[in-house]
Amino acid sequence: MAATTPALTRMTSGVLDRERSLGYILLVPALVILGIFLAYPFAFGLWLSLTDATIGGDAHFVGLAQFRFLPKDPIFVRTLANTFVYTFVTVIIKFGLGLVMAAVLNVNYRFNQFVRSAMLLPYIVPTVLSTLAWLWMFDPTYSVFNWSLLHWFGVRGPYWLGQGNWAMVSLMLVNIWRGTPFFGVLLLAAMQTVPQDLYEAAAVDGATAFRRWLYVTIPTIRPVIMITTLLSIILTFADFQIIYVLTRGGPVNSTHVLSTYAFQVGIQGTEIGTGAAISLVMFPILCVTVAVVLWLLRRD
Amino acid sequence: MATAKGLNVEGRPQPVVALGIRPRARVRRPAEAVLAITGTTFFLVFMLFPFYWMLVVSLKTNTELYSLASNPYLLTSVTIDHFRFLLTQTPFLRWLLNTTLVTVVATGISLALSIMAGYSLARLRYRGAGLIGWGVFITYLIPPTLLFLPLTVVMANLHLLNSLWSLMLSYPTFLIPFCTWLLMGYFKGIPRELEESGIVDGCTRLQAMLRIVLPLAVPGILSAAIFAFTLSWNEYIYALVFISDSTLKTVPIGVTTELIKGDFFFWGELMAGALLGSVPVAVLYSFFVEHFVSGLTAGAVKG
Amino acid sequence: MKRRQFLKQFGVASAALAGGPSLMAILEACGGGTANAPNPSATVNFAGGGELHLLQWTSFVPEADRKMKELLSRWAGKHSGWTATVDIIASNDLQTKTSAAVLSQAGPDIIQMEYNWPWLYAQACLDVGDVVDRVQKKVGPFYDSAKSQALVKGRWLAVPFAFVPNGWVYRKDLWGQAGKPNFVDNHDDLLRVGTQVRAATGKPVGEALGHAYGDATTMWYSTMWNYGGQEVQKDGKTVALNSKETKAAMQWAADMWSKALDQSGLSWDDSSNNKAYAAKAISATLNGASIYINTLPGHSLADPDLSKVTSAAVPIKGPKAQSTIHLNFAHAVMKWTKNPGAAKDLVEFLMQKENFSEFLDAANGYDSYPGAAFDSHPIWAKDPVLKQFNDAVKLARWPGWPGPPSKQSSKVQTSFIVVDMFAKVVQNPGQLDKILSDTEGQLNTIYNQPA
Repeated sequence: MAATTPALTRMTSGVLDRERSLGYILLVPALVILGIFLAYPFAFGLWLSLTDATIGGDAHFVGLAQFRFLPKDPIFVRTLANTFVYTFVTVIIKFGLGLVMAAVLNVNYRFNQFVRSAMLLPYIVPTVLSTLAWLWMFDPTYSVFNWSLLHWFGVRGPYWLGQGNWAMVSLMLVNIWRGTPFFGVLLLAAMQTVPQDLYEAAAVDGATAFRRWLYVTIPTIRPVIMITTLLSIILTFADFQIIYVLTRGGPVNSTHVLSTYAFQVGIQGTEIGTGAAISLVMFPILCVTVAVVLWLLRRD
Repeated sequence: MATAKGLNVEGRPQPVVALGIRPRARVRRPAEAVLAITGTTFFLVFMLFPFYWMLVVSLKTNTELYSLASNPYLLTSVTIDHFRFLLTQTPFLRWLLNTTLVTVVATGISLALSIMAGYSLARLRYRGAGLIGWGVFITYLIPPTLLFLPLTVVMANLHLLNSLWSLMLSYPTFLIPFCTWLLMGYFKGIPRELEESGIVDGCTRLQAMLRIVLPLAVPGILSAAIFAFTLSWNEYIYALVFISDSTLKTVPIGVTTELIKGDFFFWGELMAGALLGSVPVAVLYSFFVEHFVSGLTAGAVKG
Repeated sequence: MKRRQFLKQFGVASAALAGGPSLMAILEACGGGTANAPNPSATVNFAGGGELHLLQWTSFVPEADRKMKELLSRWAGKHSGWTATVDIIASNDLQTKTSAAVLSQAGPDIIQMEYNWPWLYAQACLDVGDVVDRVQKKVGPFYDSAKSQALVKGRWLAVPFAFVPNGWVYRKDLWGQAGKPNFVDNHDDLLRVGTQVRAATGKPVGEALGHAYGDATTMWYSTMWNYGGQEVQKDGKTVALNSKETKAAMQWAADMWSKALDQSGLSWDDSSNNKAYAAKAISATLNGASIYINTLPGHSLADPDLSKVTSAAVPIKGPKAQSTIHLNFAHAVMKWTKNPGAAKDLVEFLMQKENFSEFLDAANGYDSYPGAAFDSHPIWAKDPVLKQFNDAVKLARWPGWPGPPSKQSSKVQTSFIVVDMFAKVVQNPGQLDKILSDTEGQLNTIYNQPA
């Protein structure tokens, strides 16, 4: 025993000291978890999308028939357009507001620690619960917005979730509310790392605060802007809870996004094959988006 | 470089030390101050109004809540009935405990595995590392709506349905890709020389990783931890599908599945649950918010 | 690649990681057309103990959920070593849970299914014909509407349990002013008097036109049927939507919308009319008894002023019919249960006269038996308002009527195609013909897909 131990130690340490073996060893646990609980279900989902499977029914391999059929489904086409509009509009606004929020938070004053934490709240409260609060605020009978419009301005407010465009606007509003702090705080962090001497140089050149911000801050934090936007696109594109709680895709399927439509078709309509195909449409779109953003980032 | 920072703008590895948000110059001009105050007020109102709303609804009597005559912003009388119902008629505290357990374990697993994988992918040279790194990141793009039903089949096969383990093991699937990516960026920023000098001094590689690299990466690890914690705390669809037993539910699931009764929402209780359910994360954040943001940007940019 | 080959390769991979029963068997079970396991013998062996889980919605009446728990533990108390648990889930999420259970062939032993789910999940349900026979003999026969949803192609795949009947909940005071203190009984009068009430009091009739799985379905399917419209022929295959009867129904809806309905209805979900009624903002709505029960003392709203002026009436009739849809429940014993005999015994136990009677009492008039057997139950005599709901049970039809329920009719229902047709026409009455033919196109797409 005593004789073998040092040999054993030498052997293991040899294995652990070689970069390649250590590299693989450290990687294995993560890959096992991802393999069982992600790659495998993903493959299963891929397979489902190539079948006409229904939940509790027969499944036949149909090749790409689901994907060929999708463009002929007017609701799907509308849904795809909605998903792009929803993502595009909210990400832009979240970015804009986030930038302003970061600029505001970057000013040093008393209580600013408290303000920073407070502004993160929308991002950390469980989405499904905060969205319920919004549901009550949009309620056709009890909407606090409509109450205020009526009592303060004498104007009748819209039926937030009941009229096609207003419903979409309402969903976007909630998404923006939830997502802006994410931008705000990340951009703030980036702004903090801009070297002070750059500002001082700009100030010497006589640049105003706004111009300093535009020509010094923004270019310097560009990589963070790109990454944050990328993350936001990924999360917004696959957003589910806000729409599921507020409109469930209504009125008249006008507010479905890919995830909620996949859910309606796959789970409630039990056509899991079609549902999987609808979900899967997101994947290549996101891959292309990510590739483009990372390419832009590398180019700098 | 005088100011140590995690941000790697030029694409060169840089030391990551002392990452706290450093104080900026005081406000100099009145115009700037006015803008800052206006801006802060706008954002505070926009961001916090729904929380004010939750509080008001959770403290109102139903009679007042459902009366169109009353001012929705104000409370004419305060009741703690909704909180009492939540705490005595539902297993809310149990839900809170479950959520905490799941979140802590899932975060722990994800961090441990991500640190190992991130270190391996960022620091060790071997064939396929680049490809695997990309593969791990791509998994982050897989839509969850595609995964949850197939994942149910896996959980059923492993006999994990209706057990907290199903959540503790499935949450890492969406946490590991991001955390690994974040930490890779971090590890790349720590100079190899530090580690190599440690090895020269007689450390093994593993010891060098544990004693030299990890302590330097603490801000990044903390950011990853908080990120993982929040996502686990909020997760909805897996918990909805995998857990059935009332006493095993998490807060978001317990509150929504048991307080929306038929076609009637128990609004006061729902809002009380939303408030109490976000307190733990809010407290965590208020302690760590600065670390979170600095670490997140520092790591992410290098990915 | 053939499916089976694919499955085999999949199965090999999965067997390694799953350890237990391979995924192959599971995929075969949900994908292949395997027949149900043969019925266990009538005598159940309770020796050795075991556990049962029953999944049901979260009822509007908390006492009803408590009573279910009590009944289950009473059942378990009779058999040593057994436990029986109720898992509750919000009604919106019940189908998600059911789908997940069916796909993974694991989960609750008994699922309280809604509407025509036994048709959707037929391959996952055990035949419970023997239980149904005994219940119908001992307690009382089921209505056709209950039968149509649980009797799938000649086999009982679930035991009808209860209905949550819909009726008109209305304000006696407001409709009294218009000379109709007992409400109206047909579509023409609802339009005419509803217009008067809205004009005189500012309080419209409230009806959901959004994706409300219960309220909108009930209101707009019944409107279509009452005017003689139908989505398919009796064969359940030939689409028959485009008719002058359906047009008449759509025209009525458009008129109703412009003259008598609440204009926020397009955004309503199932809880919206409850809120609008509690806010005293509407004069009448079609709903379950929850709105009324809620105003009674001891319930969450407890508004004596409102309950005093609230009454109920059975669903209205049109030129061709008096019909409605109710939310109905049926207990399906799932085929993956390890204890099919005990599960069936539990389901039968719940339907025993004295037990169901207790459940009716606890549910406070919100639920009804899916037949006439409990029409003389004291709960209906106690409150004449609630009796109206029980009287409405027999008017029930099902989506896809007059054909049998099917996957297609269910898809039409869950994708809100009929509801959306009405929602579109109230917004664009001028486009009635186009909306109708578009909708018929959608129905054709669905019904022409292979079953």
